[in-house]
Amino acid sequence: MNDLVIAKNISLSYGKLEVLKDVSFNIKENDFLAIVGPNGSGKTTLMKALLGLVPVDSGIFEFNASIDKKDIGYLPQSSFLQDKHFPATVKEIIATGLQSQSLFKFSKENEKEIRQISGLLDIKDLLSKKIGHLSGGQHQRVLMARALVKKPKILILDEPTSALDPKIREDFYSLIHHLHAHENVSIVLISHDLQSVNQFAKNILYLDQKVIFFGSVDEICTSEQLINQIGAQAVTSLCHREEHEHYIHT
Amino acid sequence: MNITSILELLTFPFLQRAFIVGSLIAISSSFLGIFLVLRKYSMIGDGLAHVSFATVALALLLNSSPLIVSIPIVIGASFLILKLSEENKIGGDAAIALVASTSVAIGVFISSLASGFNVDLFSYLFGSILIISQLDVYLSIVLSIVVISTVLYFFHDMFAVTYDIDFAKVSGIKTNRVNQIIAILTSITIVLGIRVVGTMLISSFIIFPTVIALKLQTGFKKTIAIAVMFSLFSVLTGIMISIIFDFPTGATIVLLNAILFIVASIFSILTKKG
Repeated sequence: MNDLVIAKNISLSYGKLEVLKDVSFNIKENDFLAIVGPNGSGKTTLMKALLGLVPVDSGIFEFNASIDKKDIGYLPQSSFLQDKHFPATVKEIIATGLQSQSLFKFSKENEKEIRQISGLLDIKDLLSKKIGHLSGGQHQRVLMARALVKKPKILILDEPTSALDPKIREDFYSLIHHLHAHENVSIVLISHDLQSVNQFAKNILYLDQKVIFFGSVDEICTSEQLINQIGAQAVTSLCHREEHEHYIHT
Repeated sequence: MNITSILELLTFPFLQRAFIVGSLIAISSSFLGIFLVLRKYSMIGDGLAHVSFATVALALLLNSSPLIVSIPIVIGASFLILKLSEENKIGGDAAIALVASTSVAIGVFISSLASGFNVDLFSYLFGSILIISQLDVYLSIVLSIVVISTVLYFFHDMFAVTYDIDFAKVSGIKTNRVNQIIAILTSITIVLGIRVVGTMLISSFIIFPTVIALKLQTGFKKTIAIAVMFSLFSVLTGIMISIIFDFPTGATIVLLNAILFIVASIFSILTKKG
């Protein structure tokens, strides 16, 4: 299977604080990669570096020729953007995901794209609502629609469920699974909670400034490095994927 | 003063020029204000206004047009503030304070070097509609068209950057270029505005109408439209009141804005939107 992105020996520091040390991994076509690790392990920084938002000290991200920057959708941590007073409608926010120069009205094509994606995410009724008046779950769906409206080949989700209640979280995971299984979108899911993502992921990157484990979900149970890092009991508990299968509704 | 005398006043060329230039600044500053206020860049306007004090002093010393001398220098200062803020070595507010205070010091230094133009300089500090020339009117028309048409052309990019700069970058928007465009347009608007309200009060021109419009909690484009209306109202009414009652024009306009802000805040509380 083709590699869409190859990260080679990425090192990054903020001043004297070393955040990433010699990190290498790849994102395959139709991959579902979960990037996990404790808080402050460099997960978000790694993705920001991949997206070109922060410069690396050394190393390189190689993109497949078929991948353009515009083919990557990004869902940042929602809580940073929930400004209750921002004067914009849901539709205006979703439209920022489109390459549009239009001020006064959206083109028919753009209207169609916005309606299509808002239908998929069940937010059609919210299009004319103010962005600041939404609940956490609705807001998350709007940002997801913004990331998906340009039909990305890779979707990077940064702690997408941290602000959601359990029911909405379940629906959200179902949606991500649907996008991966039926729309062939490669998913990169950042989470600090390995247990809740390993039932969807094909591959796991366990990060704690450096790569502790990178491989398929099946290999995780036997990773000595991960056992040394988080303990045998914790690793064993991660290997019982079938217990969490109820999340998946295709 | 009766209606006939007021109508007679409107035939004076200096007042007509003040109305034209004032209206153009009101529209330009309202188009820009929303991007500055929502990005927490309001103080950039204030910092650049201080820079324009130094440039006006320099122009008067060189016996040149303050508008022509000020625009390139104020644009340069806006780039310097952006650069200092982006490098993160000092915070954005500290960068503005450094550039602003240095500029005022240079302005005071220049004015002490040459005597004879301090009265003119004072009129630029607090604004005076009597100093608006026909050339200023033409320049204001051209520059306002530049500001408004640039905002309209780059609206999508400016809006995207204002809501979420990281997402805008990921989407391929050249965010540095958008920041520079906002800095250039702010500089032009500030230099235009110092004629009417002066270097001390021009930043309120950019901030007040947008903040008042934001109190009414509507969509992005409607907020701009409402800010334009409030701004036009306060400028035109302020000029008239200042002429009729012999008040300082700039201060009258800003105080009118302050009253509108209080009324909008009360309205916002009463309708439970704020």
